[in-house]
Amino acid sequence: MSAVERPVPFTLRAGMQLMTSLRLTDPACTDLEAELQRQVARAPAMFRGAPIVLDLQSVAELAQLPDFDRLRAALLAESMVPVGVRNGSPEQRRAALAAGWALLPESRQEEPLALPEQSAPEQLRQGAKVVERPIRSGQQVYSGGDLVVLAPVSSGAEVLADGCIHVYGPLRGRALAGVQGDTSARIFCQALEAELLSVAGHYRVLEEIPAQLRGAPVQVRLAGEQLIIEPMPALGR
Amino acid sequence: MSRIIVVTSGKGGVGKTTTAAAFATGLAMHGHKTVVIDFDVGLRNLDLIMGCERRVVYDFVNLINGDANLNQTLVRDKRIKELYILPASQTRDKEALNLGGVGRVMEELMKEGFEYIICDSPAGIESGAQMAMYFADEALVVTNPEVSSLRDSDRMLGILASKSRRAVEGDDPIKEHLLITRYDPERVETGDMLSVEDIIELLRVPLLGVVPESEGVLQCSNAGEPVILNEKDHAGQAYADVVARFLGEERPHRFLTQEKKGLLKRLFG
Repeated sequence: MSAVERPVPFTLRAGMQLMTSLRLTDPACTDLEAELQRQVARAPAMFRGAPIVLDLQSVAELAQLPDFDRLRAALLAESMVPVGVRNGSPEQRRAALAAGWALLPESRQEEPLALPEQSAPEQLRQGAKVVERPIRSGQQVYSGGDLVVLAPVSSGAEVLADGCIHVYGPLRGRALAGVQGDTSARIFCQALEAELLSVAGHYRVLEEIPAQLRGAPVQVRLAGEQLIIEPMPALGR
Repeated sequence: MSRIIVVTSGKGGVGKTTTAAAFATGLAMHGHKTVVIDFDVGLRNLDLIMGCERRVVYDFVNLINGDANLNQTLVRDKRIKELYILPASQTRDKEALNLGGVGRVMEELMKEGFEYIICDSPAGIESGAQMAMYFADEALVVTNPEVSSLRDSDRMLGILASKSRRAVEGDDPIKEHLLITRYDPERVETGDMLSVEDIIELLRVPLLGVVPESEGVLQCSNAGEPVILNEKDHAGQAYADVVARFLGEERPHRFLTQEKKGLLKRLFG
């Protein structure tokens, strides 16, 4: 038998993966562990086992070398998997490689923050997640794309999505859209009774829902820095 | 075919044990071989409500640890033929239970030909409650008409849907039934309590029955008699309806509205 027919135990393939990046702004890493813990605690399910790319763009001009071992330990302690570094000065990249980090190609945009991040994240974003069972108090559901819930979201439950959130039952819990920072994400619901609404980190707790919005179909969007909660536009007629 | 049914609620004091005792007794009265297991290790109460506390020799933990066999541990009810009680241990705590051991006991009970295995869950959502619900095929979620009880039931429903054996193994989900207890139509009318409609709207679980607040429940549990055996009591009648409905009979819901007091009763209380 020729060697060609021998089964190969794996296939090797190049591919594009969506990864969370940690953009370092302070090379001294002041309060790194505490801040990481605080941010992860807001959506632990989202970060558990997530591959993390360390983005050094903001500190590339600085001579100081970040403590790569400490960064790795801090990420692992929060159950995230440090993968590699992106951008940074040649010295920083050399130090990162020596500390066991992979070197990822530099991002093409010079100032990605200033861009209205529209095309790129949407191309990479996962498809919608559809949930048909009620989301109960204490449950947390996350979608890497849009999230569609065809049942009630109970008080004390939490729904999160990188994209938009649609809830066709009463929304009584918390809804956080655009959790990776997409300011164009929106929340749509058939009956607003939510405890907290958030788009791209701009949140509002609803201690008292205005009477004209309570139980009404609404959409929630971001206009600049302001979170707008408005009745769903009337269709037809 | 055996069915494992957990009686659960999250919150304490809503009537889980009263329900488990009445429900198991009712199933046995219909001729089904039934066992009711007390999962509240350390806070054993089921034996009192069933009136068999002086006949407990071995308990659930002994059985799991292999210190006693099933026949030695099961307590046979003196009133109803096909009814058995598996008491909890009073001297141990919840850590004495483990999934492997509970699973073995469940298998043994099935082999013994029990048609219904009723698991009386402890309050809370910790290991004891999770052991009680893990192997369940169906769940009676016991709720009182007030918001804190509702939220806890909702939480429990979430756990049933995500942490039970059926959820973990990707089987059909647990069949959920809603049982509202301590319902007081008078207080519903005055707005002190949530109505049946409100509760169904919030929990979205099919309603199996509504048991009214009744003095008979306390009297029966003090006397060690499942309330379903008291045919004159409204709660007893409601439980009889619940069991019949569970077995597929159609019965209208009773005791949902305030009883109209007659003139004499109004005058003389």
